[in-house]
Amino acid sequence: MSKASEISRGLVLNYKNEPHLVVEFQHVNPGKGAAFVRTRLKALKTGKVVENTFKSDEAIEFMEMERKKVQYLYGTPTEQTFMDMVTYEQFSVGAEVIGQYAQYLKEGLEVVLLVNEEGIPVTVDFPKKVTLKVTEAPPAVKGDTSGNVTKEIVLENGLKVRTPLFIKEDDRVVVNTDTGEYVERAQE
Amino acid sequence: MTWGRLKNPQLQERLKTRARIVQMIREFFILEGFLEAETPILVPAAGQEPYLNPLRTRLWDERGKACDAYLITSPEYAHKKLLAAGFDNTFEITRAFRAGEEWGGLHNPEFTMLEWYRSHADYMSIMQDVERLVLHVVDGIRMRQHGKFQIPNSKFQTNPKSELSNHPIIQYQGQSIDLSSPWQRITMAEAWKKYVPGFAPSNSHERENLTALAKARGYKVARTDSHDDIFFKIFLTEIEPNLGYPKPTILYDYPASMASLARLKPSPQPSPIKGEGVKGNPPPLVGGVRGGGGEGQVAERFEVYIAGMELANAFSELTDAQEQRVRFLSEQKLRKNLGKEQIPLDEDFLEAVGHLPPSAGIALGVDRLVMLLTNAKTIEEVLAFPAGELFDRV
Repeated sequence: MSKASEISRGLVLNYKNEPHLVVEFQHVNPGKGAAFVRTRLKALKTGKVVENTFKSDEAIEFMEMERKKVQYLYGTPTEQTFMDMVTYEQFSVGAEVIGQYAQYLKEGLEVVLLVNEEGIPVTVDFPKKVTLKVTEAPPAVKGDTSGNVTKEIVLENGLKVRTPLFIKEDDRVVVNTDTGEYVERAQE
Repeated sequence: MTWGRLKNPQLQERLKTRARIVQMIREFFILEGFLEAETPILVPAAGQEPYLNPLRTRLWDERGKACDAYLITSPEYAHKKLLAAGFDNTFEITRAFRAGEEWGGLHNPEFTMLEWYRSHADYMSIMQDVERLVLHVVDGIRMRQHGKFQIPNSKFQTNPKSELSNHPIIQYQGQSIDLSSPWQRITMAEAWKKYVPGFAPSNSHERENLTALAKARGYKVARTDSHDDIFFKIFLTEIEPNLGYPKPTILYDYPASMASLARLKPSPQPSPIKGEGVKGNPPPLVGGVRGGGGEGQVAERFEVYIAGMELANAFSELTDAQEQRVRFLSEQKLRKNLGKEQIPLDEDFLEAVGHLPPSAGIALGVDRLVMLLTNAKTIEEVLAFPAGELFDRV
């Protein structure tokens, strides 16, 4: 048995006798309370996302899944293909497994496939952050500078996000793949 | 490793805003007539809170005589000693330290804490202070952005009606937060009723009732989980993430078991014993709290949430030395049961508690305020040198 404090993104947990992928977790220490871990868990069979909070010292069971580091090759609207760069083994993954993350796929992007005992990918552990190039960024407009000023820009995958005014065309920016929001300007 | 990241223009912008925020906090309290106190970070007895891990170090004098010393988890004991000695209103922006918590996200082992205390006041007046402080800080940041920053003149008003404060709306992580007064105020009991289906007020006090509710809602409850543990499992999952949208939330009146240094409602609670109370073993606990603190009793405590983030924790201070000793001893016992280091009682503090005027105080996480006002998702984004960059993880 492991402890809930070891919970980390991408691990698979036996939660109510079903495998659940940890998609988000946060350690919280409420005032005058013990330490807890707040989680968002995705049921691998149904794709349903649930929230639960564990005590940090609570016993939990991680499920062993083979994790294959693969690169994105190409895709069709219904299927995406990845390749294991060590064994050159190829995996096809259905659109329903990839879900909202499909829009961030680009050739060469590395993701982790969680593969079950039959060798079938059950989920994609998508990077929480991806770096994308800015294709359109209007120049900053002087004037309204109250609050946190942002502008809308377009990224190479067509995604529109709001960023601070200093972002220019051809900059590379980091985007959170869970929320689709701008995180920061990428460092060289 | 650490200096390279300081070139990031976004981090630089945030650090400049951070400096401005700290200046505005200081300005607010000076204009309000508070005394800025400097209290020690290195102390012989750290806070007693069962779930906090103070950092211990060794101190020695010129002859090599050594003793244990701790870094504070909060400056509150020192401020209450000042109050007891007759200082009316004090504030401090200091560093506090907590081990055993996450490095990054919402925590950093070394962080900046703002505390302020008012004598002859209760937690309601502190609620007003927080609202006005945050608005003052927001105003100050925006004035700089508009190039209108100037030294405030003597006509300072606590609630300036400038054009800027008419729209104190911030964007935080894709959500609009309206900081204008009044903020949402909700009691803990109301919050449970609002957010937890199936909750009945009678659920809250008995561990068994709460257990039944938790199980019905799909939580695992271990035999060793205390009432408060089960309480927090539900609270952190179903209630806390909703707090602080679209206006900041003041969540008040906590279960008496979560009071620690707060006085219980109804107030005023006269202190039966002036002075230091009785040393040694006090009378046994009734229902977890001495002095009629039975079921359903609440403590005059509140927390401030903005955009789901806990920003501050405040109390009407407990002024009953005897009761304080009882609570410390039960916390000491809990620390022992949890296998945590035993921390000596601060007898000097216990003596001071009996001389406290009715008063109230608050601790506010400055790093988190900076996060909110600079739209930073994590504490690392508002720190020049976060612990995760300074220390290698083992």
